[in-house]
Amino acid sequence: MSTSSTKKGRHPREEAVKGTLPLLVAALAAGLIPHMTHLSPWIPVWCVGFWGYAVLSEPKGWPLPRTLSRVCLTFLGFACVFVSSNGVIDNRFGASLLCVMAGLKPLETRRERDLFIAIFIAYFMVVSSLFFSASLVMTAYMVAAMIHITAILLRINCPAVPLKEAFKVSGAITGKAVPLTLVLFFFFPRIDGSLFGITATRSASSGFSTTLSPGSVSQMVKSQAPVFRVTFDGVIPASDQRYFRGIVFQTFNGTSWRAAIRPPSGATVKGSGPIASYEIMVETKNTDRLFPLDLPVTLPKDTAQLADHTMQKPKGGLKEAPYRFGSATAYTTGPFAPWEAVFTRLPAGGNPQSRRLARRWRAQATDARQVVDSALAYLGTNGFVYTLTPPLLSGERIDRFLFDTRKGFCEHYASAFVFLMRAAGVPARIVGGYLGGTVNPMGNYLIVRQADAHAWAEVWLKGQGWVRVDPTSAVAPDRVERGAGFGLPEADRPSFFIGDGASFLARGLQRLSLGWDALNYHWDTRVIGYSGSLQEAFLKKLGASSRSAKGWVAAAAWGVALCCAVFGLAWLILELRSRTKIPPVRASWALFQKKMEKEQITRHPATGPLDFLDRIKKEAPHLYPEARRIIRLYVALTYGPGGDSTERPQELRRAVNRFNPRKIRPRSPKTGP
Amino acid sequence: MRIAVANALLRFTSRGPRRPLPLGIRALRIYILPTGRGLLFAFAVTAMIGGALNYTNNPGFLFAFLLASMALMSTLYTQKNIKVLTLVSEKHVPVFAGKPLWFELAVKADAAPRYRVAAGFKDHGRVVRDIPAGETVTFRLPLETLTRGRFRPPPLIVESTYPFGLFRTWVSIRLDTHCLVFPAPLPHAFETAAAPTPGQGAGTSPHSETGDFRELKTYRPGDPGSRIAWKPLARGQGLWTKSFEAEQNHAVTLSWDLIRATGTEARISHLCHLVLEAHRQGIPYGLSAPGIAIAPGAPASVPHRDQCLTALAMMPPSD
Repeated sequence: MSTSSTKKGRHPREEAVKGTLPLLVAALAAGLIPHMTHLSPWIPVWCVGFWGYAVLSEPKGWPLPRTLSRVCLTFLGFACVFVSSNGVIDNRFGASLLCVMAGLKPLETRRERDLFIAIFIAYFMVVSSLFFSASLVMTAYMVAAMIHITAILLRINCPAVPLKEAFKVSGAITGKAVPLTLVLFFFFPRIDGSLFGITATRSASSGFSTTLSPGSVSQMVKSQAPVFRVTFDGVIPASDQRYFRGIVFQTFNGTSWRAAIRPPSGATVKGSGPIASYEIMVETKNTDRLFPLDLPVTLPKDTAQLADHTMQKPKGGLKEAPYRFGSATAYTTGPFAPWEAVFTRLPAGGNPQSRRLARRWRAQATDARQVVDSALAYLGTNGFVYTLTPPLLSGERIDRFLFDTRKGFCEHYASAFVFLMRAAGVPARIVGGYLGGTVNPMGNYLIVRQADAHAWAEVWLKGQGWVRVDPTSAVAPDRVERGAGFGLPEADRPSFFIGDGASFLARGLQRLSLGWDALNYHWDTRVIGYSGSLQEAFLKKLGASSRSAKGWVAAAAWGVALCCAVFGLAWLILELRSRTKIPPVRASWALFQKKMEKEQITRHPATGPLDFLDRIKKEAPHLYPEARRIIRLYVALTYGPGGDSTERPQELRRAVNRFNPRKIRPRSPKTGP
Repeated sequence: MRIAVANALLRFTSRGPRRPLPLGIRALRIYILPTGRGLLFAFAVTAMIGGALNYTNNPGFLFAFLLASMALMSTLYTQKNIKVLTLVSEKHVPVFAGKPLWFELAVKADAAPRYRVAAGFKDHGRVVRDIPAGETVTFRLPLETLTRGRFRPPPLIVESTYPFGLFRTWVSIRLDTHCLVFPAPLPHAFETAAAPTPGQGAGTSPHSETGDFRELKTYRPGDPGSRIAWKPLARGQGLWTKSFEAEQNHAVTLSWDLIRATGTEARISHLCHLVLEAHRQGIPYGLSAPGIAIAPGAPASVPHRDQCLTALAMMPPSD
């Protein structure tokens, strides 16, 4: 194996690096784990493969790759990342590159400096994983990973430290660092918006699309994934008032409704009655839209409303920060705008029975309101059933639903209702969004889940503008008044639905999950959602501000003072501990010396215990037998092999406590013969 | 007030008094600064904060601040790692110029083990040791010696980068001690003057081989060539040196005036060699040089030899 030995000789590992590779790999692995969910599966395999080789190369004497092969491997890794990301350069691409580098790093770790760089890479891996997930669990993991990696850093810097102690010290330092971290976190100047104009984008995985067809809402309600959470400033409005508006469907093609045209921006709303103020905290992984309460009148910064009163999708995606809205629950909208003619159109033919019914209502009515009432009355009285599993429709779908099957979910009712209205000449549209939500009593906020998805209708009435009409309420009033799952037949309800008849266990579990949700929610709103405006509110409570120069100085003074206080406290704790913590053996030894000092025998710090014993023998022979016992015990405990007996420190303590030089009489000096 | 400030400034800038051992490091001014790694770490944390600012990623902020706080808090541990140490004692023996002087420094830890404590004289490298709880560890610190004489060691530095290597803390101590460096011995033919002691004859020289032959000793480097026993060497029995009765019995004086060299330092070095030689051979010898007059002592007496060497080491340099 001459070749391998020459290779090894060419790239020898420094003495300091030897034996540290398993630790280093453990640190890097802590950085890799949070990335597992969003990386291509080959990357963990890549890392584990190279790490395994690096760890085994030392005991097995395997050669390390030369510079050229390392460069080739690096390029190969980068090329693979580029291919597997399809050329899209985003967060995932960056994280993949970092992980690929981390995979190769132990192979080129030869000098002590490389170890430190690898540790820094591990830190970077952890921090970059936070760009993908920022939950409470993830944060807890982050702190644990931090302690882990830092302990390894300590161990690398001071190889003599036992691993257990390294973790203990790392934990203690991290514990002391937490208060300082919080001060820095809340006082560090924030800006709302991006520094360099680059923002992370996350794509929503589910939710409303721009097409509404029978089954699209009933699919959504099977998931209890949270979409957003709402904190109201005042009382939470009643369940039947909590319509969260997301999307307006405009055109019908006989089977599905589409939101095809982008409405003009800007909306006119005249609110009457109280305005509800609230903050929406969006689960960005579950939606890419904002769902304000019907109808928003004051908007968060950097957002815009469209003419159909929905929110424009924000550029660069939603932030995990609270959006503050004000909504009027009683309102009138403006005059009928020319672009709104789209809400009167129907396909040229089809569904003749429905059209006839609508025309008859129109002929009998004096105004549009009466047409709406006729339609609601029709849906309420003709044996319509609200169900998640309606029979499949085909052909003249509206006709078949209204006159034949009469079984449907909210999208069927909204769709049929809007068709009837348009056929009767009343401008009407379908609104998609969420209705109800669950009030979390442990945080007094509202959780809105996919299960709360709903579709309802709006008609345009003279003098009032757009008026919300929920045809589902005519069929299943419980759905509107009590929430998702209510109003459905027993067999249709989602498995997670907790109704009146739920068991004690199910209720307990629900409480637990609500408690956990509340914890997460507070974490998300207070910490993850902490922003420039929240910071301003926080600073105002301290009499400081980030807006004015004077307020800024006050804020800085607060921050610096708190940092100093926290640091000083940590110093004090450490100082006091070192003064009080004396091991029992040393305490006994100190006491023994003190007792000897009273007999005018002082031990010089450089005198060893046995030399001290010799001095005692010479200067106070009458104390010798006892002193010998004590000193022998002390020497055995301090320098002897430890761990043979736990009793002996106690023995030494007892011996020293009993030792009283005054009580031992000096023997009369011997007189030689 | 002004005087107080001036005093404080003076205290701060002055190097402080020379300190005898034992000495607790707690009493000294302890410095701390980031290491190169610490600066790299600061750069990494700054990059993380920049990234967090850009993406308004609060967990990123949390992590970066946690790292920064951890590094700051580690300074307390770094500092404590040397603050609780006691420099118990020091020991060193004189050496000849040009040889390293090993300065043995005993350092004691408190109730906890202290890791990676480095000690060394300024510009003389560092010795790194771990000190177990409550124990005393001896650092053997090298000191360069170029010229003879008594000198004060350069400032002693005790430092540590525990726990993370991000900060280095150190103290600089001016020890209240002297180191003695004997002159470097320079081989010279053994020439002596008769010791002016009563009962001894006039100037004898071992060189003249007047005494009775006593025995053969194994050759040691530095033995004069004239004393080498050539016959055994020719017989292939190795190098031997002849010794003579006269040397055992007659005290000699190693005299400045008999050295065939002109430079002061060279003369001192030659004398140093002769002192060592006389000591080795067990000849009673005295020393006479400008300002030095040492009567012959007991043969092969180490204190006498050291007295002579010290006297030579302390001779004032010529201008």
